Amino acid sequence: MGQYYVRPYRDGDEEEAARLFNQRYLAYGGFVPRTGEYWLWSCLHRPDVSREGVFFVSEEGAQNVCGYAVVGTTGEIWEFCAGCDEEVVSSVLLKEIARYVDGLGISSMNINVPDDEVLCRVLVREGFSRVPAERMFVSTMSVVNLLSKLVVDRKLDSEEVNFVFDHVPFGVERIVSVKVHDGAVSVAEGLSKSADVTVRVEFASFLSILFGTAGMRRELIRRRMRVKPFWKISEATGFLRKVRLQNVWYWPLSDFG
Amino acid sequence: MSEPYSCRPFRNGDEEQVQELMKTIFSRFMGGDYWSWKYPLNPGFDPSLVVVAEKDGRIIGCNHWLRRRLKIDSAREVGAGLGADVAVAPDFRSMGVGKALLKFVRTANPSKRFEVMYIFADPELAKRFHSPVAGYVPAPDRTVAFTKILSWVKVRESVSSFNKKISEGSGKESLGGGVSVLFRVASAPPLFLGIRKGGVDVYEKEAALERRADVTIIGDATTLSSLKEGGSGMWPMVKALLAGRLKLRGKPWKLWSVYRNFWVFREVFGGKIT
Repeated sequence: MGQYYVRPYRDGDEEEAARLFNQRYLAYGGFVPRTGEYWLWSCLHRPDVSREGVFFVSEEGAQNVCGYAVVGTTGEIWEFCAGCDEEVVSSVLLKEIARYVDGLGISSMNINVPDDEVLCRVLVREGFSRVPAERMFVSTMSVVNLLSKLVVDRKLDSEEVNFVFDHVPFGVERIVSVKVHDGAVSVAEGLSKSADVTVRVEFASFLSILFGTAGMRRELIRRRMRVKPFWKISEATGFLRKVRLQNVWYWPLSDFG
Repeated sequence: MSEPYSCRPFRNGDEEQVQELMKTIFSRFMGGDYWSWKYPLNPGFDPSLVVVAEKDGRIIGCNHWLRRRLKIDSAREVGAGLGADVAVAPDFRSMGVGKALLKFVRTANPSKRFEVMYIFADPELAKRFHSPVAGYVPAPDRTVAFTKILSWVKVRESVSSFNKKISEGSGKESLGGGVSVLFRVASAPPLFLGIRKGGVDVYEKEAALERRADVTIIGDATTLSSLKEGGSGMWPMVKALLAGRLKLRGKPWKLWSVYRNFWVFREVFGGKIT
């Protein structure tokens, strides 16, 4: 374990910050992938953030950045990232943040982190406690567009599936067909006459299955999803299992707006 | 019957009215600078994703969307629209303006059919408003929030306006008085609330510890959240007690006084406290 030192933001650090953030949260979905331009807008140019509220941590004798934090004069810790030696670097950053906010006369500090054992432990040790967070909700404007993204690079068997949605929100396709043939996948609006199987499903159930927050068995039992002919259930669920998202999501406060 | 208002895309010249509307709704944090930073200065800003509701030349509602790339799993990014600030002028609320704006933004941009639309919202609000209109479902969200309370300045403000209401006789109930409570909340300085007939006294940090409290409430920040959940009655508190997250110390008849004055704590902690 090395010795770490904290330094303020220097022009050009945004590219390193973006790289570190994308690497640290690689296993998560739910956030805006960082670019230097987005980082500058969401962190440094934020009205309540000044250069004094941005901290970069590096190891003694090394140039590379191990972590950083962006704190507003409102007490919001907009972005927090410890890319290596997480427990120590997080402690170093939190202590620096405490020193910074001490003179600001603010009422509280708030931070969002992924439900990660190490980071949560460090936060509790530094005097923070867990509170209910705002939740993230998702929908789509086009099932065709969403499915087209989800089928890319999936190992799908040759199959054709029709989806018919109930309780579709305004402006979203009600019927969608997916055709897989010789590795090529096409998703289109409307019924495919040659489809082997038709899935009739509540729109909300379909989205919950795709985003990994609802189980297919439960939706079938509750009759929110029906498969015709019923002996093709395994094919329909097999397709959805292959395209559904597997990763959990995390959003930093800086993405909140 | 003519339409009481009409929806249209944002256009140059609307800035001032939209900012004014946002300020009236989000007075605590939405200053003019904040709006300019969040929208026109945003690298992904697209004015066609801001829509307004207009009545006789006056902007009475607005709905802002931000175009973003969104990572949905370790290898996949999609075009996404973040549903951001919605504001409706107080005299036009409960007239369906919010829903009309939401529908309009979905139809006004046929070329911008985002793969994912997302919002950050209170679950109750999402269930009541967003899900029926746009089919929102919970994301696979594993985000947790932490807080560290450094001072009770917002509770002091809340107590001050509560006392004003009491002195003006506009409080819903009258104060029974005669009980004092010391809150020892993890990750927060000690807080003393003394309820008397004329109002509530508040002390924090060392000054709170110097006073003799009838009852001590020990818990974590979630305890305060349970105090805020007014619609759920006492149940969140009872749950916290049973789970050991909340401890009460004091003489039984004083605990009864705390129970009788529970509405006061709800009033005091009901607003924003961090």
